[in-house]
Amino acid sequence: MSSATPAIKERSTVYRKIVLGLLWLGVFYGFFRIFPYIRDLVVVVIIAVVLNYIFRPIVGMMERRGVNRIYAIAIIFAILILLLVLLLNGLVPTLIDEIGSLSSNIESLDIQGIYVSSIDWLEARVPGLVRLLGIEPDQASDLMDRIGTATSGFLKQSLSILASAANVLSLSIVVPFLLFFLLKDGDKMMRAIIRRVPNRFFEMTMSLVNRVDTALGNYIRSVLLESSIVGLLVWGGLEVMGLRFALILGIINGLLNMIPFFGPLIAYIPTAVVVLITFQPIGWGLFWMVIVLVSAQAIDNVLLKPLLISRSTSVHPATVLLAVLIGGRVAGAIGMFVAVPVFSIIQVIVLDLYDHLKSYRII
Amino acid sequence: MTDKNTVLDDVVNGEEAPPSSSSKRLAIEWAPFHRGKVGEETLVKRALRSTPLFENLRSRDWKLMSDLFHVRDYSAGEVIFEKGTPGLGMYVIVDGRVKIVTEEKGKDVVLTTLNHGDFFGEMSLIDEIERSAGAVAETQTRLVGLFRPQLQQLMTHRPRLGITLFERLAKIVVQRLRYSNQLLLQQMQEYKSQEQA
Repeated sequence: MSSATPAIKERSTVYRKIVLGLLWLGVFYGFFRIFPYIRDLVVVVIIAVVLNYIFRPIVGMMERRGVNRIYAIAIIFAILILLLVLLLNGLVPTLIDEIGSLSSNIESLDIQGIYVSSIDWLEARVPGLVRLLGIEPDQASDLMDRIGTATSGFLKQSLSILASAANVLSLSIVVPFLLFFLLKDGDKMMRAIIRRVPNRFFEMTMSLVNRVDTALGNYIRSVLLESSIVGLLVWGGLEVMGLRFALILGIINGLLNMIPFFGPLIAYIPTAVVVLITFQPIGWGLFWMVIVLVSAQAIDNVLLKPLLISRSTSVHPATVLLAVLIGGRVAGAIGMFVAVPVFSIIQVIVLDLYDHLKSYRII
Repeated sequence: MTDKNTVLDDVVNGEEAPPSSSSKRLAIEWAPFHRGKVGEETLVKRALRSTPLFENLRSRDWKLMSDLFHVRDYSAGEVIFEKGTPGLGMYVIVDGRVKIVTEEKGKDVVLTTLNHGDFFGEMSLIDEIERSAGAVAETQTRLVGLFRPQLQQLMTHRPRLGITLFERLAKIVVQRLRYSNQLLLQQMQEYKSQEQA
């Protein structure tokens, strides 16, 4: 074996980094070019894969107790349908009522009036500041228009994905169909793929697939469990506080909790808006709201995260911000929620792949 | 008793390949083709049953095990695994020959050659240790691999069968340990007698 000099080694590391950087750029570029065409398919596959990771351990557990795999899957499907029916009957009408009531409350809010009175309040205390800052009383409507256009565009994009990908056909036929085969034959499919891997990469692929599968399963299950617990905590806290729309705020908080660092902060906005609109006195409302949200976050950070989330899937705050921005650009609000989990998954795969390629002496 | 009475059976089973290709050709020419071909599954079963790890398993357990094995084909000279790479599991030779090699002073040294029914790499089933030697297919070789993830899967899904396999694995490891202790003792005695002389 020839030993390379440090200078050559350093140069080759730089080349490798450049090649890797270009590769990532290519992957991102390719993804953005192809994504519009495969968007619906990607969303459907992601839903089925996530559900597969949630239900696979349950199927395995039932199988261990002597239940035939197909019967186990059938039982899970039956329970899911039952839950869905109960949800549609019970929870959804409540949610729709809450959303309807909330939006009428928001509509009745006189933003122009609040804006003008705030300017008057500021002018009375610091004369000349309003003119210095160039604030005009009629800017409120212009600002609201702009916010409205941006929000509706963003929501439209998200809704169009929901409408096209998660339409009745996809959700009711394709996802269950895909989920059934993933649960039934997932292992066989993977074996068939591994069988076609060249001998040189066989052991590495086996090890990699196993690790990524375990890490992915743990990550998806733990993130969902963590977010559900946070959502329940917030819901319970706000309900005890006596705030209206506690259920929908709990769901929003749970969902936003999937975005590390920024999600819980963003969750303050809708909660504060509801407090401002519906709670009296507002000061106490905001105080209790902060107590509830901070407590939920404290429980999450002190208890849930260390227990549930593996360190290998932790993502740098700057990367989270970038991933959320890219996710938002590609697929609207849904993209923002999915971006960090998807990025974590890619990170696990890339890092493990790199480690394996090195330890199996392929690179 | 086995039903391998013809040269062809030996060829098919990969046991003691005939000395020349002409006898192989003759065997094929005179083959009782109406008896049908021995299926891949039968070959794999035969090879596995000859190893102490998988002998005397119940037919129900065989069915379960067959989902866990990976059958791999290697051409002559192809590397199965390299020394120093992370070990993932063991292989049983169904057909062909495998040499176990290590590197000494920059040269490849063949430690041993393994044939049909032999197995290697079983220590990696217990822990992810680095391979202490490399394995190279000497002839066209078919192997059956059982790997740690699958064994762990078996332990969770069928603990009874998993424990049986682990017990057998422990016995094999103990045998190897005894054997290496004996060798060490022998070498120490030789060294002592040389020193005394």
